[in-house]
Amino acid sequence: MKTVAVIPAFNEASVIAEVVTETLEYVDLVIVVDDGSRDDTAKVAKSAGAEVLRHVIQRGVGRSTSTGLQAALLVGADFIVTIDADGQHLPSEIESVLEPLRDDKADLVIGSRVLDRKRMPLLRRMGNRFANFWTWILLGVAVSDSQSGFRAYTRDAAKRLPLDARGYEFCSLTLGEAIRIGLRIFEVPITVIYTEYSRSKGQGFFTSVKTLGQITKESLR
Amino acid sequence: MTLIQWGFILVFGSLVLRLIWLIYRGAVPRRRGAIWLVLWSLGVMVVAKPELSTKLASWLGVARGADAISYVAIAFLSILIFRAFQLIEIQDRQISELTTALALKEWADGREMMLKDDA
Repeated sequence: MKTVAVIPAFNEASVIAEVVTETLEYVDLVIVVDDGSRDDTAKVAKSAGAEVLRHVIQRGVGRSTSTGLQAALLVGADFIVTIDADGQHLPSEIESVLEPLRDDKADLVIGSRVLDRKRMPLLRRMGNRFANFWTWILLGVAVSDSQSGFRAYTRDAAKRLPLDARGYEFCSLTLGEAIRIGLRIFEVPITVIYTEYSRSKGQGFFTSVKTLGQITKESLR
Repeated sequence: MTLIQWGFILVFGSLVLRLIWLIYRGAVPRRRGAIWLVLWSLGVMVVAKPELSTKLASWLGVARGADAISYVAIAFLSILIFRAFQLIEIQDRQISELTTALALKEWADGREMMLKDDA
């Protein structure tokens, strides 16, 4: 069974090599989607051993993930893992995220930061709870961590999920669509490493507000 | 007629002429062009004969002609903004699809070349 990791990245030259190298220990192939970075993300990722796809202009983490999933399907991936490029996830936990897929208990697995929520910065924790609530209200999906980027998909799930969203709203919208088409969702606890760097990345306050707006807009379509 | 009326007639009139020219050249679809033509012509008429706006006001149940024009203009602008947002969104999606397609193509071409080199 071929397992491919997809890493959407934007201006991550300083950390991407380590993430790629560690991830390669647990998967057959790492695909980095460079979302129009202005630094050497693509070059560094390639030297670290990843296959690199480049967006000529920045399109957001959602679209980068979509591009990566399409590439993974083209190389014949049976299981696809998505992992953040900022080093906040532990590649050593890929196996546990993949387990429900291998056991045929799920079609989509979310690596949930919920057990580690106490370590989450306060604003992010509040934002995460609200996003979960919003995802539940608008999309009918009750999960503990709707915004986690550490996920795993079966080939079939990746093929069936249309990932049109550009930004972080794709996290929630994917779940809504997954429920709608009858995919089985499973959550696995994961560890998150919060460094100064990873805190500066991801969803800040304004990005979260924008994300909630996008979720609302898209769910009303 | 006052100076401001002449000014507006000049602007709307030149827009009408330009539109007719664009429709004639096929640069603007006839149906869409006809709608704009009617709108700009109405503009010319209302500016030239302000009493028309008063008639419109009484027909709409609004006190003054100027108020009627304001309401109609706001409704029209709202429709335009909505339409513009729709178009932006459609084009945004198309740009995203294009970006993905380009990335995949470039990557597939690169892989093909690597395989050829290996062979």
